[in-house]
Amino acid sequence: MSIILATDRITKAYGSKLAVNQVSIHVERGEVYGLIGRNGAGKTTLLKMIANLATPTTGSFAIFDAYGNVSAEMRSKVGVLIEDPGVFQNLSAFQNLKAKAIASGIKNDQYLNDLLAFVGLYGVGKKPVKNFSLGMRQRLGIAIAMVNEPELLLLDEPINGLDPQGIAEVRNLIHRLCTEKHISIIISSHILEELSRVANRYGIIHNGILMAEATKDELLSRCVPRLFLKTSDNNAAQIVIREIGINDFSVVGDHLEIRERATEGGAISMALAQKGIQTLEMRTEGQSLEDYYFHLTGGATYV
Amino acid sequence: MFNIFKMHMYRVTRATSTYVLLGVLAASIFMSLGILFIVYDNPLTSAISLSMSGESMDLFSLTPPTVHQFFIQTSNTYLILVSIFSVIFANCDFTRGFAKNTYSMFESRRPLVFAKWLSLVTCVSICYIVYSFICLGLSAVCIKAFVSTKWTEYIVGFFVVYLCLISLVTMVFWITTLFKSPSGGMVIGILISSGTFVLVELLISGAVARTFHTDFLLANYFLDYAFMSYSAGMGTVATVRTIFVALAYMALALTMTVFLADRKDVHV
Repeated sequence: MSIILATDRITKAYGSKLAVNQVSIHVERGEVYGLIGRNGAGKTTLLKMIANLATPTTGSFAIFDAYGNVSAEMRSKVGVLIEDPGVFQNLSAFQNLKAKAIASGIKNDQYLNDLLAFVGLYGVGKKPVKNFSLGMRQRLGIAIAMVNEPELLLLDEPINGLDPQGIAEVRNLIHRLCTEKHISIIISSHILEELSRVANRYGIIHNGILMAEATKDELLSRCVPRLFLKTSDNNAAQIVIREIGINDFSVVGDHLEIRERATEGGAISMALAQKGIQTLEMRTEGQSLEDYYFHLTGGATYV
Repeated sequence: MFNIFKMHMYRVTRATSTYVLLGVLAASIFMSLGILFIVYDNPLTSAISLSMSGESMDLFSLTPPTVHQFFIQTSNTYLILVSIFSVIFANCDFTRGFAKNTYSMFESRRPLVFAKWLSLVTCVSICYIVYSFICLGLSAVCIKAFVSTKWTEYIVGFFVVYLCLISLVTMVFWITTLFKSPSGGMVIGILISSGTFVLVELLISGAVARTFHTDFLLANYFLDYAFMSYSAGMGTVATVRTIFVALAYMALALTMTVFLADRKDVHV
């Protein structure tokens, strides 16, 4: 797959504070890229720089392989929903879409009705947007972002504040955008569980720094449970572990990391004890994506 | 750029605030007509005018330039409404966040600023032309003291005042962009249009004249004073000076707005 967006050590400083610090992300065509980070991590600022709503202090980025100045034609191929949906509250859903369509030089009203239908807002008629639920507004925001038929969609916290039904609707919409319209999507969120359901590549950002970037498979492999084992004699312990049929392990510093049958800590401890090897410390690590995230970002209890 | 212009025209014609402001403006016409009637058509002024010689009759005649000056240049209501409209117009897509959709479409923000300014100027121009002719027509029909003379002065005044008005609107546009807040822009816009700054400007002018022992009136070079005090009957020098002041302020405000838009991040 080709790269649709790449940032090169992009940085944004507000005074002495670095909101985004030398971040380099790579988004491949057709994928859903999940940007994970807690509130204030720098996700929105990064997306704003890509959307041309904020100017990078240093660094650059390439959209569709074009570094430096991005042409208006390329810009029009990037759809944006950053923070709240940007809508005129007194206008209807159709009128809001129409306003964006006029700005984009699109005259086809049927296309706009199709877009409304795609996001499930076809029947709302002339109801002003101010009377919409938050979920409806988010879907309208996505529809507005899609007016130009973008190839890359930037969605910043699209499920923030939504009820479970609203979250499910937006999640389904993202799936359909990817599978039916073949749009590459960057979606930011601090809700790890939701992001893990839609994204197939992740960037973990913390205090403005990109801590890790990995595909879903890579990330899951890093999240496979491991048994941390510290014994009185690690060399003898390796022999015992092999004897009980465990081969996927390694010595890391003063301890062993066992990846195979990592949940069988009790049996391993018993086998070691029978050979007179004392277990000094034993714990299971990397049980979930969340644990991996906490490990990277310093062990916060709430993302 | 033309598409952005059309987009602004589309949304402004569908905004409730546009029609509320037009309604208030329409109501203000009738209030102003009432004042004109009291000043020019009541029995007392008629009696005074009859007792005067022909040379002084002008004082009690309502000419087209006077109507224009009364309804536009010295009418606080008109200027305040235009200022409020300009602030709402300049801020609307930012306060509602719609600017994110358009600003993300362009690499340079200059076309966006020019298109928005152009659409604001178009709206104010249409309003100015229609309002001027309605006021003139109603004055001609309703006020007995109206005399159809001084049309050359009226036409010259119409265009000079128009330039000043657009320049004022551009200043409000810049201030609104600077503050990024409707309330801040609104307060300063109203202070400008209500003539509050004129008093300060006259005080500064007086101080300068006394200090340097000169007849030079600095206030002539302040846009709001130039706008409110201008009359085509003041002569060519005053007309050229007012045009120059209007164009200079307009160019300055527009340049500053473009500069701000280029430099500032979009916070919506």
